[in-house]
Amino acid sequence: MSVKYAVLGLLAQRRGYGYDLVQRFEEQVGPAWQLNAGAIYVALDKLEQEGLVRPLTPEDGAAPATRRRTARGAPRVIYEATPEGLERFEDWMATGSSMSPLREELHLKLALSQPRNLPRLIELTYEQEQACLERLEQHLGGAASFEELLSSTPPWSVVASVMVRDAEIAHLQATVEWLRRIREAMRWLQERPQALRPPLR
Amino acid sequence: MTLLSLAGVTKRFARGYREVEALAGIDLDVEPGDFVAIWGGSRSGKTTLLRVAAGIEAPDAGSVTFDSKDLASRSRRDRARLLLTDIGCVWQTGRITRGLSVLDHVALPRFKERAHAQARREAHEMLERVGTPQAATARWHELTDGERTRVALAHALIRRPRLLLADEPTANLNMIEREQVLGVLRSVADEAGVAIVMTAPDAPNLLQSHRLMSLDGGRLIKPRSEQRGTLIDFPDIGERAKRSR
Repeated sequence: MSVKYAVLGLLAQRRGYGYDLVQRFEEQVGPAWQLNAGAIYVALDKLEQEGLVRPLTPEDGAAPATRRRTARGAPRVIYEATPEGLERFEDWMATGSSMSPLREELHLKLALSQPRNLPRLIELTYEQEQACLERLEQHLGGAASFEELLSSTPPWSVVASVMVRDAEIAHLQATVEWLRRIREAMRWLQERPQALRPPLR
Repeated sequence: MTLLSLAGVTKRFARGYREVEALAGIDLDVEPGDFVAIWGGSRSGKTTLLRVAAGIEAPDAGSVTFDSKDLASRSRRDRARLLLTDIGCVWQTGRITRGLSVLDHVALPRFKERAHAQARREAHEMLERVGTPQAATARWHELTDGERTRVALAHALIRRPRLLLADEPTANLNMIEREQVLGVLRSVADEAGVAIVMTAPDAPNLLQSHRLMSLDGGRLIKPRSEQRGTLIDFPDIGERAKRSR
């Protein structure tokens, strides 16, 4: 649902076609979103139906661009945001943001586990921490750090992308800290089997 | 060629009636120019790891090899000499040399090889490089914690070590100072080929390094890119899993 507004926002910046929007989304939001490129096209269709964006026609003076073709030979459609679209985007920017629920497979496994699963669960926390490190590795030597940001006068787009990237780093850090806490707790329990009495019926 | 190599390093301490395993089978290879960042919370074993790597403590099992020579086979004197020449250390407790000015403390490792004036000039440059030139004329008690850390870094780097072991060198620094210190570390690794093992308490501090890993409960957790085809190994888990069956 928010991809719809992101596409609208990208078109509010400047006109563009499907693949161009996919690339700009990746560039500005980052890989953490794990965008499914198809979602962009779905969003474009929906936005067009609602009259928030419209495809350019030759009368718009965009003829040379619209005549360009995609790799498969279909005409490449260039979209732009309509005035209603721009207004809707401004409304969206002004409203509060929803938080998506925390849904991790590991949480389900923990919730449905038994004491006999302890050794494997502890091992899973190591594997999960390893996965976090792998995600973190993608940020190694990142292009811009806050230091560079603060010591120069960067364009807003750079500041914005660093802040978004920092969100993933913060999330990974919190996850690793959580994994370490539950691992310590599970180890403690593992060394004291008497603490693992079956629940009362 | 590997400069520092830890193989199966284990270290135990007595804590009251219990024995804690501060390091449990650590394997780590560091090449010249490598900048390794180790992420560990408190009591994760990170300071112990650096002390063992520096040869200050001997492992209970496993071996530490520096410059293709097992540290255990070197004499005590030889190990102490390494700490004055090839291995630079930055400890969290920012050690000072009593009776020396801040500048002379930084210049100390160079006094033997250089005229004192020359060594002090180098110390000035080094303090400038780590972003705290004002420390040169300050008294010890006037330094902030962040300045002390950077004085310790200058003291470690001035000897041009081949290996730098830094225990939370970014503690007590603000964001700008932190990036500056990490930038210095990165550049000595990239330009001078110094091998660096640094510990850090959180994720943002890891990101200027070349390689990152995590230390928890004495175990080193490495991303798959680090493992060169072998599966991550947790001996005790395998054993406990067997016992619990």
